[in-house]
Amino acid sequence: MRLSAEYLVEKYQENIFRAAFSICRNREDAEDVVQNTFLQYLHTKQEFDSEEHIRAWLLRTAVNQSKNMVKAFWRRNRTSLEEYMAEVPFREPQDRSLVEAVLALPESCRIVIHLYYYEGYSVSEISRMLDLSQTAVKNRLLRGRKQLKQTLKEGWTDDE
Amino acid sequence: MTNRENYQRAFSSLHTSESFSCRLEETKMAKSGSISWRKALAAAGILLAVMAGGSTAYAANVGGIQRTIQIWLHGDQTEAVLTVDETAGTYTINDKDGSMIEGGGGVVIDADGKERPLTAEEIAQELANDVATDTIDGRMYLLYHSQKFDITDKFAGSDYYYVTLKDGDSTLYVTVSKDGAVASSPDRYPQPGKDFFNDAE
Repeated sequence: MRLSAEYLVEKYQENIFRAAFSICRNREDAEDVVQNTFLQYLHTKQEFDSEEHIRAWLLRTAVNQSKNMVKAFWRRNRTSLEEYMAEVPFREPQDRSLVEAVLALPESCRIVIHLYYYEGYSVSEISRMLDLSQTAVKNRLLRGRKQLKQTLKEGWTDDE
Repeated sequence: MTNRENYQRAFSSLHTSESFSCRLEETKMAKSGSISWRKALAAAGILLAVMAGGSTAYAANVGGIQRTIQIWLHGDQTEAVLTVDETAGTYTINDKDGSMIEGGGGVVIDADGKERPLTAEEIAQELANDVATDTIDGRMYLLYHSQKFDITDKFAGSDYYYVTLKDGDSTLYVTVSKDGAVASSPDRYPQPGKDFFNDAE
């Protein structure tokens, strides 16, 4: 099955942006990832089973693109993370602390934490999406949670 | 609230900028994937590889593929040696005395966002399609393949000059800013402030 790119942009653009931002830590780079991800969707010959399959493909593509972006030798003019974060209208003060704590995690933990807590994927789904073993995903989740607990203290509970 | 609820509320505050809109009409991408290209000049005013000529040979002593090319050097065409490491997708250009003029490399990003190094042919192609500017005696020139165009008077009061370059079947849309920054695309004119930035921005 195929869904129109316009529909997918409308529905998933911000999710793709947030996943990309959690890796790139930069708005302009994350927006480039959003753009490139949807262009790749237009060009891919891949067949999809369901909307959920497309969503997972978009996120996996965005993650790969974001990793490339972070490694790139040349990057265009960018807003600093501090400048961007100062502009974000968080609903609660602790929301800013949480996002900052996540962005301070090692890259390998950040994306696993984001897919788990924001996108709601299970360990096995993340393992398939990122080509990692389930043990590796669990370890990264464990490491991320531990660091978030240390940073946020009572702002991060011991639930999963 | 659970960690997940807190996390989702916090990250829901992050949005793309108001000026951002995803362009879906730009559908012309290379079938093999998009190319991410990196280039570093050893010195200013030394641009650009114009034509890959002569025979290609594997040079065991440098561990790569070498070929003789023509480059623009301070406004004049001269011969240089291009050496490509296909394993890494990188290249160097050295002058006839062996001094490095330019280096760089690139990757092809496939439909799933995975990378592979550029081949020697792809690197030669990228270099041959490069466009650059050079200012000589107060005149600005656009350098493309073996041609040098004086574009000093083309800006006509504007900060940008838009020109279409054709060579055989290939067409290149080029945007040049008054300070010499240049960007090109086979699909459309790169938009200043969006697709590229010059030093003034």
